[in-house]
Amino acid sequence: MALLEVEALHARYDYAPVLQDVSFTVDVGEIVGLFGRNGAGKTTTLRAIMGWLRPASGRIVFAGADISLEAPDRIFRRGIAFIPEDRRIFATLTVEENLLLGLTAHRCTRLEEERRLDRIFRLFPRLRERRRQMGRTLSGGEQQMLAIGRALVGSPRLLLVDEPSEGLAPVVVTEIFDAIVRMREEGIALLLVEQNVRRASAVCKSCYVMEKGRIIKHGTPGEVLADEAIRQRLSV
Amino acid sequence: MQDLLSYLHLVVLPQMVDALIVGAALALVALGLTMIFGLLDVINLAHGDLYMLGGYAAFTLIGWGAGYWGALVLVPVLVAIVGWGLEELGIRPLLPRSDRAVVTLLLTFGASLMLRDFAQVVWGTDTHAIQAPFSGVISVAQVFVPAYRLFVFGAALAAIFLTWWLIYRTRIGAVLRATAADPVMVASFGIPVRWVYGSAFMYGCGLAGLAGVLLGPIYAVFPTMGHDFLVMAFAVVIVGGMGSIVGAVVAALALAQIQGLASLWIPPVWAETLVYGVMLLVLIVRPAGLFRRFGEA
Ligand SMILES: Nc1ncnc2c1ncn2[C@@H]1O[C@H](COP(=O)(O)OP(=O)(O)OP(=O)(O)O)[C@@H](O)[C@H]1O
Ligand SMILES: [Mg+2]
Repeated sequence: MALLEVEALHARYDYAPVLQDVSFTVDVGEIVGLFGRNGAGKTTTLRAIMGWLRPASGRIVFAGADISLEAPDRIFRRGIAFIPEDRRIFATLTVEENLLLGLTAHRCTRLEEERRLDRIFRLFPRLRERRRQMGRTLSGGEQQMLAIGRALVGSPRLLLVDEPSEGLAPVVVTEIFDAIVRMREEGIALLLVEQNVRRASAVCKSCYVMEKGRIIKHGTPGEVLADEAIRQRLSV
Repeated sequence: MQDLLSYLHLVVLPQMVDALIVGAALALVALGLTMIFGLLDVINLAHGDLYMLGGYAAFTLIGWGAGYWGALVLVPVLVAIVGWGLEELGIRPLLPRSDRAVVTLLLTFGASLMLRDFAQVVWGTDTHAIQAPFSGVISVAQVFVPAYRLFVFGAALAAIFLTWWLIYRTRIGAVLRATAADPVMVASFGIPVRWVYGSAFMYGCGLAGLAGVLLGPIYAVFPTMGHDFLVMAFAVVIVGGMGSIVGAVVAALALAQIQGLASLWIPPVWAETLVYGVMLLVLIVRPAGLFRRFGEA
């Protein structure tokens, strides 16, 4: 069943068209990869879904509801969380405050909060150690863990993740991808934008390749990477 | 030597105590101003007039029999409600605009003029005195301070501490700090940022109203009282750092001391000029002010 359906999406910054006729779907509990070279429009696609950018035309349907013109807070409350490229940790909030911010809209009890924090701390034990530390004092890898934890703590149905492995050491990348697989096992669907196509295609069920704002290829990772031209474009 | 000591004790020290009290009240007005700027990027030129409104509202409520203590509780709430109206009807519709800094400046300037005219229509141009709730003088080490002034100092300090605690020690404060730094990201966690803005604006206006009640019995109330105080509060916010909570408090206390002490030796008008001189100096040396905007690393 399709959880997210993007239909003929067009978007532009000022007057420069960035997305042209983009269509794809993400099913319940599956990981979908979105690949493409720098400037292809991957980040813009995620921003449009989260309501950071108003589509010029086309539809974004989530769990049966058209969310194309909704504001980010409404979209989050429908069950979509976004982990942006630059992570955007709140620098002057502690690790715990950052995580709790992801729970604010849920208004759950103290006990429930503690249970949910504990779940994140078990996923990333390093965050537990840094619980009272300010966001700005974390390393790049820890910031990415916090960004994932903050988005995950409210149990979204769909997670939009923009280049989670960017700038991280290989060990940390492994940790992040392990966490991504765990999320899928918990039934969370993911739309995963990655430059690291090799690693991402190992966890994706299906993937899309973008170029100059259009989807140029779609299929299982095996099908897509069998295409020599695509492999060259993505330099894998 | 003896002369110098008694001069310090009997002339300088009382002046410093007085300035401390003025500084604490000034910090209340500056706190609201800096909170609103830190969160909404709005320079609220009507802030001084909300302080004035606080003074007049206290005058009227006391006249109606609410008593000073009734006024002390009611006025901040009333002024916060006026602030809510200003935010809801005036500022909020302008926030999505890219030129919001300029248009909100014009809007709050207009609101300031309207509030002042409103006060003149309702209360006239005369100065009204407000009776302090108690009299008496307390002497500490032979420095005599009216008991009411000490109370003002204590109440202002309590409100300052409450504000600090709210912002830095509570969940609401975490949302405020996060919103000051990155409103889009906060909205992306399901939090309606417009309510955060609205509440912070109301709270800041409530503080201005509180300052109006507290200082009413000391300076009396008159239509331009807000204007005079606002200019000083701006100097405070600029020196302390636009949007800095700690900066507003430190700068308010410091500038009040500079003004108070300087007016011992030079005419009061020049003492005020000196304060703006300090402000100019800070603008040249450290244009962002002495302290960081809250929410920013
Ligand atoms: N705020 C903006 N204003 C104007 N143009 C923009 C803006 N953000 C992105 N663009 C342009 O839109 C196009 C797509 O950008 P986008 O960030 O979506 O690409 P991307 O696929 O995420 O690239 P990368 O792999 O480098 O992150 C690029 O040509 C970029 O220059
Ligand atoms: Mg990108």
